[in-house]
Amino acid sequence: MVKKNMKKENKKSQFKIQQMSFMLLAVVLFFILVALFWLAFQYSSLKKQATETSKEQAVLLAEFISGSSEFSCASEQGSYCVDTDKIIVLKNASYKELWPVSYIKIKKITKEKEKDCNIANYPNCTNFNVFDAKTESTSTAGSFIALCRHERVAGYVQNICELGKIMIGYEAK
Amino acid sequence: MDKKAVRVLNSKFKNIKIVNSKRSFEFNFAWLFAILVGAIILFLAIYFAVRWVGTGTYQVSTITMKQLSIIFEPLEVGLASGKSSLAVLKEETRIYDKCEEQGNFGKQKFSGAGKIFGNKWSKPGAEISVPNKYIFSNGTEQGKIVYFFSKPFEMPWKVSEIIFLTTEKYCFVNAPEFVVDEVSGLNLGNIRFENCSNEIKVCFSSSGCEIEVSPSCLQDCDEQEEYSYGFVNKKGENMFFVGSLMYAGIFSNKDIYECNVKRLMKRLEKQALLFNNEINFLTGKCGNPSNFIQLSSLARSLKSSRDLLLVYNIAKEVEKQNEASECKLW
Repeated sequence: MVKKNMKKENKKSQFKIQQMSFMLLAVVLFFILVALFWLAFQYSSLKKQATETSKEQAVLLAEFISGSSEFSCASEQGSYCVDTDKIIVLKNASYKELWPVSYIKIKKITKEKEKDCNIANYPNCTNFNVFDAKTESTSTAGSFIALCRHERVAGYVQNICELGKIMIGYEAK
Repeated sequence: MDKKAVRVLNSKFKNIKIVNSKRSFEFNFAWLFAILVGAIILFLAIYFAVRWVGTGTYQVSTITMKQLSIIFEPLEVGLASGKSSLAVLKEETRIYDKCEEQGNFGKQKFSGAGKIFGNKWSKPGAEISVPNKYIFSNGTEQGKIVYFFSKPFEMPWKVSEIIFLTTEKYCFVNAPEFVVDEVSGLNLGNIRFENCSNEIKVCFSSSGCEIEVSPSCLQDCDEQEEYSYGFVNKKGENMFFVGSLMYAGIFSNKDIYECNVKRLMKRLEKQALLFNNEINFLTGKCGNPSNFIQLSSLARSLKSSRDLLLVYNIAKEVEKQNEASECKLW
């Protein structure tokens, strides 16, 4: 009789432990799901914020990069002016380290057919590829600028300027 | 019955009495299991809550630093003689500034820390790399309001803007007129020129302050030319300057100063080569090539700020050549 009762008690306890284990498993799974959902939400908002920050940086860089000595014209020509004589010889790969963007391109605004610039066809060309890190999924921020070059006209050196656009590529995450 | 048997019976009787008592309870396996698992769950909850607060602070510090690094971009002066800005942070923040001179241009890395659990500072957030700006600070700045101002560094063309970052308040004693004009024009809230109290005192051509600025051009120089080169003494260490680097010496520590001067010279070296390529490309249209190669190699060989004067002297020659040239390159 006592043995039968003990067996019955054991079975009851085992059932209770099983019940508690399942309950615990459910609670743990619930918390894992909540954590996963929270992580996914945080990750996507962080990615969005990173893209926004990159965009903001690229917009500001597009606005101010023409002021740096690697691009700027002589001070008498004012700001927002890029010296194309300088850009055409700016083929130093090390400059990729200096500007944390995907690419820097300068385009002449003209009706002419688009043509990439090199020393042989300059100034009869339209596109200057300053550098391109060949990053996938990039977006662009741009700013209008003056593109000036030195030309000898009637025996005097003059600055010939045209309208252009500087385009800064940034990684869209 | 012997005494032992009586004792055992008494004890069994007591046990039965305790178990059957209304105030007693049975500490069975279910209780033990519940307490153990409860403790584990509580421990994990507290652990993850602390981790979550830590990660949150790390994330906020990193985002703050990234946003601060973006503020540096509009400090590009263009044709202006200087620009200023200030950032009011949500809470007191520590800004750590590290400078690395390795690589083609070197870089600066910024990280921030906020306060957690009272007055304890959190671990610094992720480092934000700034490769194209030259920011002079004391290495670790702490405060709610961060003051920035920038000046062009010319050698002889504008090599780059140099940015001064500080959270401290300064008082300039005996400042020359051009410094008063320049600083007043920038409308900086943390620099005053009279009625000094608890600010960091900066003496110009005089002694008795924490920071002393000594000009070295003493013959045939007007007031501005007098300060065109010299040295800043801070905590017994000398930092040699030319031009606007005078402010850099005032606002930064020796390590950041020397590292940024070397970074500026790396930039100058590359720019001199770029101008050399340009002038060679324009040879047919413009006059003779200038002395860019010498300027570039001097900039490359600079060991410390003590050698700046050598580069400055060559830069002045190059400036004269550009003035005389038909094609002005800057």
